[in-house]
Amino acid sequence: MEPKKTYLALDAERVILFKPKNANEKTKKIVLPRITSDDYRKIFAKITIETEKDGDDKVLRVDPDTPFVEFIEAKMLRAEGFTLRDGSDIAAHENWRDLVPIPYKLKAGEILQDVKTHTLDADYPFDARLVDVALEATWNDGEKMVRVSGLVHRFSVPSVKHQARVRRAMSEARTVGGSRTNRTIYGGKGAVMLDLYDELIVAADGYSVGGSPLGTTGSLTAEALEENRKTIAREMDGMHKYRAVEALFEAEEIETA
Amino acid sequence: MIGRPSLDYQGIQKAAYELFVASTEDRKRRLRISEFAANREQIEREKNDELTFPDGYYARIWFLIWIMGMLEAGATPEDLELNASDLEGILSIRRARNAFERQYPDCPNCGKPNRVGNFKCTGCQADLRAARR
Repeated sequence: MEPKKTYLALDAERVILFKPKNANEKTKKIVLPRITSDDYRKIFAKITIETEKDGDDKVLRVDPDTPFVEFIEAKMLRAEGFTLRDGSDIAAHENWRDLVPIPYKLKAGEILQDVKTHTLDADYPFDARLVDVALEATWNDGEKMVRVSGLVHRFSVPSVKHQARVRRAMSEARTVGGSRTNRTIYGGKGAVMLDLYDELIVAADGYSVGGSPLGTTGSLTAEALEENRKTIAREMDGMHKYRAVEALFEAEEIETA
Repeated sequence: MIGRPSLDYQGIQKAAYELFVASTEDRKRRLRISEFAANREQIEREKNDELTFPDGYYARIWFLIWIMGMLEAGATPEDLELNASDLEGILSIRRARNAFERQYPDCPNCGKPNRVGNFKCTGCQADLRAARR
């Protein structure tokens, strides 16, 4: 019997579960609403990359965590299993969002970012007109966190225009204190990566919305393909979009000497 | 003061010149021997001063060099969505390249750039004085 295919439910609440430290503790839980592409755009806009020469060393400063923690603090729906020293549930307090310890918010932010490229199954249908990227991610499955793989994104082949947009976004920078101070602030490429995803995506596999698989990989008419693209662009998680496009352009950038 | 490398064309020209010089064999050889040299400290200082602009200038230059390669390969400015500052930047890199080629002419034997005044090619060891005569 063929194993049952699992789908990552994009429209569900994002639940981050934390293992109890001892047998008396309950599982801790941070519950977030579904995170939209617009939410990710706002988060990515706050992530900057800074480089500075410090004597012989080059210092690189990237802080993706703060914007994620700020987002979690603002959007958390519930926090379960967290108690104060007096034994009271933090949910009973008006400022419960502030009472969730920072390490848990940081860990939740890390989980939201934990999307990585994965090897595509050798027997996955091959289409020479498309470029496939496979991802794996940490997501909740009932009352436990699981690693979900087999998340496939099928893109049309990027044009030189698309490549130029990525390279431009990566090279756009400001210098602070004039041209000789050696401090550069890069604006980040998040928004461009999300736009490119929406333009280039053709099909996705491994995701569901409303209990049904998202998009389809079968042969479709041009109108149906366009409808498919719009649906995937609307429903896909922003972090998955970002990582998939990053992988797409890394593959494109392989050059021979 | 906040600057934009993409709009600082003089800075791009100077940084590109530094990048071309840093890529020469002569420079690399001198830095390699610095480990044993009596004037090691001076050479090491030069090494640290090699690329003196903030990273953002070199990121911009690599982008413009990629653009130049794409244009040579047949892409059009429309394909690459070029703006005025891209074209100004490309001109700055060309000026830097011309200055570099004057200061580091190619060896007539093997084609490697050598600093004006070098007696021998750092690549093939050919006598450059004979070639200049």
